[in-house]
Amino acid sequence: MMESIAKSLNITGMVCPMTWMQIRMALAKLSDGDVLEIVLDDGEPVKSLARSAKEDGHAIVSLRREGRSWRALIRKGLVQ
Amino acid sequence: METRTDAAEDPLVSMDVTALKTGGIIKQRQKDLFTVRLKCPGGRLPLDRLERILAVARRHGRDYVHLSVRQSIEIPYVNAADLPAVRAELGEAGQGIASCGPRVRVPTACAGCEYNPNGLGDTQKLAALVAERYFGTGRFPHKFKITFGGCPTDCPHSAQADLGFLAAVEPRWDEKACTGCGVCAVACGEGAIEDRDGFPHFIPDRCLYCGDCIRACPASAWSAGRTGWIARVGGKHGRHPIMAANVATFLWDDEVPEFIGAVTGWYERQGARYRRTRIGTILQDDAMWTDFLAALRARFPERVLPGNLPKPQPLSVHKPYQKEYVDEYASGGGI
Repeated sequence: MMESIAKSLNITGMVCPMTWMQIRMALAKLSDGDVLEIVLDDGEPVKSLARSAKEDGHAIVSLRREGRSWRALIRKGLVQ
Repeated sequence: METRTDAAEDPLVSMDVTALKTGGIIKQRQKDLFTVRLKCPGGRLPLDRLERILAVARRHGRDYVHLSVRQSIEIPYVNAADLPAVRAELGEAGQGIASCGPRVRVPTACAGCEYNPNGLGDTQKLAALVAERYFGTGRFPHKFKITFGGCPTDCPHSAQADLGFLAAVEPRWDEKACTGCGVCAVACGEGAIEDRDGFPHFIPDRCLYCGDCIRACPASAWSAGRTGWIARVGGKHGRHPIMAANVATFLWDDEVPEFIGAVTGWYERQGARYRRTRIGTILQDDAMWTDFLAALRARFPERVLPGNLPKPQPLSVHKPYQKEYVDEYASGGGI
């Protein structure tokens, strides 16, 4: 299924907590159900991505390695 | 000219010394001044008690408090004559004084699972329980410290406690849910998950039960299997540090009090013939280690690890005897 990407974000080179804050700020500009595309580094950034997304109620649509970084699609969850 | 104080004028003549008997009050270098160590289990302190501590410290201490390395607030420079008032004023707000001596001390703990993203167990709940049920108890030959860590990162140093508990989760993999993205192998810091042909291969012997794979998995293919507390015994810091030995895994919350009772009961029983000796030092004796494990296995057959377990590991603190050291020392070079 092809997802329509509402916004793309490259956070390679960033470290915690800036990684999640950049994602959080990008999600703030989207509507519920919109999909955010993120390119992020291997290691700690990708390790904590799913946890942070799930804790805040967003869904990981896909996650795959691309060379030395990762590409993720996150669907914005309902605002509590 | 020296001024003499009439004995009748010395306020300590008539002081009620019960305030000193239960410990937590430490004599300072300065004459008649004491440091009051407060009971702050797990380092958690409600704000109303913090306000009372501030007021008491302003009234009876100086212009600061000290945070001990075991999460207690200490009020230094309290005059001996003020100790009963300090105890009473703190007590009105529910703030207790800590202990010292050969007893169960105030437990230490990390923040636990309530708001720390890595936390796997409710360390604060168990620290409060120990403070309520075991604090100040025991007829031991030496002190007994209990520590709770909410994950294997072990920020509160459970490996250096007489009895340490670490929250643990055993990961379980669901093949049907797995998308083969490989992020679990990246997340695992122990090499316990290897990415083989696009799917995770789990190597249980390497797993620390930290749950990093479960949290990192976007598809919830990794989930919690057995959960509970790893128990380790016999650690200490001080002049002769010892690293605790893991003895049990996946103790449930409600098994923890009985486990504490089993370990402290053994220490009371077998420690009776020792003077000022920590449990980790007693356990260096092969016969004692065997007896200890047998006592625990009798009560927790499903939880205590099988086989010949390694004893708590002392850290060598003295330089090994070598002739050149002695010669250097003899020649005034020092060691």
